[in-house]
Amino acid sequence: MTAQRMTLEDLAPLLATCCGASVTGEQLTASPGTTFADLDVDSLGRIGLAAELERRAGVPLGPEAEECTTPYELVALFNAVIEGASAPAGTTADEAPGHTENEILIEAPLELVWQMTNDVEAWPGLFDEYSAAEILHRTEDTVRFRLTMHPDENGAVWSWVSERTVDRAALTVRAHRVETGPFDYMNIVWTYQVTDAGVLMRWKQDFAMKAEAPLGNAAMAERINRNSPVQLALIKSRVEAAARADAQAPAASTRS
Amino acid sequence: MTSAAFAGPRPDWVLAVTGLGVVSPAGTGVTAFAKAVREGIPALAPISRFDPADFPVRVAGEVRDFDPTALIEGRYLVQTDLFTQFALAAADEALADAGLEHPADPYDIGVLMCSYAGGVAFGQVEIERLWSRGPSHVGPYQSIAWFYAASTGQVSIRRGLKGPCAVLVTDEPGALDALGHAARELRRGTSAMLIGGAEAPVGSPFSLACQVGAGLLSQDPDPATAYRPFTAGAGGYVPAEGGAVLAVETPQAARARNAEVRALVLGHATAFGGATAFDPGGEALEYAARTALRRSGLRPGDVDVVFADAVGTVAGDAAEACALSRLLPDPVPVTAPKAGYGRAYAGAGALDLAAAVLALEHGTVPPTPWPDPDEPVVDALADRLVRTTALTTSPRTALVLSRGFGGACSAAVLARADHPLPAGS
Repeated sequence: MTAQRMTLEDLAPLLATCCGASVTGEQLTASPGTTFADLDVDSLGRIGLAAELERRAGVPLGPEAEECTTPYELVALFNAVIEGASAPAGTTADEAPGHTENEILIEAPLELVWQMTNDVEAWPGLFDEYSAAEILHRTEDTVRFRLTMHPDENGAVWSWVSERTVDRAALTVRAHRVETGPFDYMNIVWTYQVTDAGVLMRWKQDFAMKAEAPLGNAAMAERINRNSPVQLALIKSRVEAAARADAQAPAASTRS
Repeated sequence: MTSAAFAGPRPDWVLAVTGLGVVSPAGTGVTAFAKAVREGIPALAPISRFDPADFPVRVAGEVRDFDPTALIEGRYLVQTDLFTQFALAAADEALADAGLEHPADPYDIGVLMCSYAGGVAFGQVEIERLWSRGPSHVGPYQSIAWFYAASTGQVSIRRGLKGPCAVLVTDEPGALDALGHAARELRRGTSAMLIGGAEAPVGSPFSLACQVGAGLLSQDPDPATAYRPFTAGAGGYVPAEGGAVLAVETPQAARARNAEVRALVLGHATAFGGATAFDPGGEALEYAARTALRRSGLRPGDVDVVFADAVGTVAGDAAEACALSRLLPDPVPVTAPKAGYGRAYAGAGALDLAAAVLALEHGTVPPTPWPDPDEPVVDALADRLVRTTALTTSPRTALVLSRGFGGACSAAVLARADHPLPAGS
């Protein structure tokens, strides 16, 4: 099977023929967070589009194809599938996609945990790995932003654009990298679970590395699993400190 | 029958027609259609959508001046057959005409589009993919596009109309029966109904193949002579594309919002005339007409013009002519504008209703167009059939007759907007 990698430019004409959507590849590329709903593509249209991609891939895309909510995700899935299906054995692309889960219990009120961890502009003060977080676009529930890391040991400054959509009622946040860098795709789901002991915050990351990336999926998973506990512990300490400060504030006011 | 039956229409069944939309071989849009019908401009032509060489049928009424991409969004085009696209365009025009484009309450307007065959041409494309390339090539929109309900459903979805929706599948009388259905829905409290029907029966070879077996289609290859209802040379009807949509509401509702009433529907009735033929003897058609007139509070002598079913077979035409001569002993103008553009199945009744509304508005009876004005017609209609040119007799009432393959016979009575109505209408 020799299916070619696909871009959003390639997908735009298929969106027209399969779904009747009028959007250019340029528009999709400029706004990768565009959803099928934004394009007025209904569920049958998405099924037809996924079927067309499966015929091009020569292999099934799996049930994930119908769960993709954006053309961007569908293209990423297509590319992951064809590379998984076509790469010769022994290369990194032959690996299973990466998946990590890391969690921490934060002993603070849910409202505070939710507010602090979703205040993207303040992330440089919440994590210790980011030097800047710049908001590019914001709608009611979705924010697109550029994250910039502190220089690494080689002096390189890594930067990328991500987009996250909050679902307050479901206590869930879904994010993905828009500029994927070394990743083929990188999706993150944040969940918050209220327990007797506090709020259990969990990061579930699903990703695949590009074939040319210096790390394979397993190596990247290892790196994430090494770094995430460090960042989670830092977030825990900062949120809990804020909670303690909040708890003392009313007491201070009653004294005065 | 007692004289009390003629006291006037039953007030709670009267409908006000406040919007019209038309897509037809004689023109797209009410203005073009009205002109072509009034002037009797012939619109039949050789079938062009596909090569009919393998068929005994050569002539159809195709809608020529219809560009769906200019009227309908791409996402609806990929999931609809032409018959649904006709309904969408006609519904747009009817809603705009009625001033109901932005209803205050979308749950208050219902939709009832009739269909006879559904989206056969759309289905043919998918079946071609199935056979030539395999099941995974059949698109998911096949599941909805072929369906009779597609036109009602898509009009409802696209225009956001969430009131009572339904589909009637009774061939040509469907749109007349939709009037009866609409009257019931309006009595239940719905403010307005979009009713009508549209058809695309020559969209593909499969579409035409489904009709040929009945033996009712004209095999005359000459567009000028192919459809000659009520003549000795009648050799069947010519299938046509298109349809019409009417916005109807109660006269009270129309008055309350200062809507312009184009015409009134005073009554409707339907009867069943036998499953295997077009109402032999014309008894069911006559019954439907008498019942519709009684419900309208009119005597047969009050009818100013008849829009005939005009199926175009010798036996079918004779049956209708017999029914008309029994029903209307005194000569009344009878016309069949569809002789100029063909018989559009579920769209035909709707187009006849539109033609009747326009005749009442303009004060003219449109002709039954065909080229030879001297060709004899059946005796019963010899002094009645309006030929070649329109009559300027200012009709105040119109009786629309319609028969369907399978036995449905329906009649509707329309009147000018200024027709006196009893209190409570």
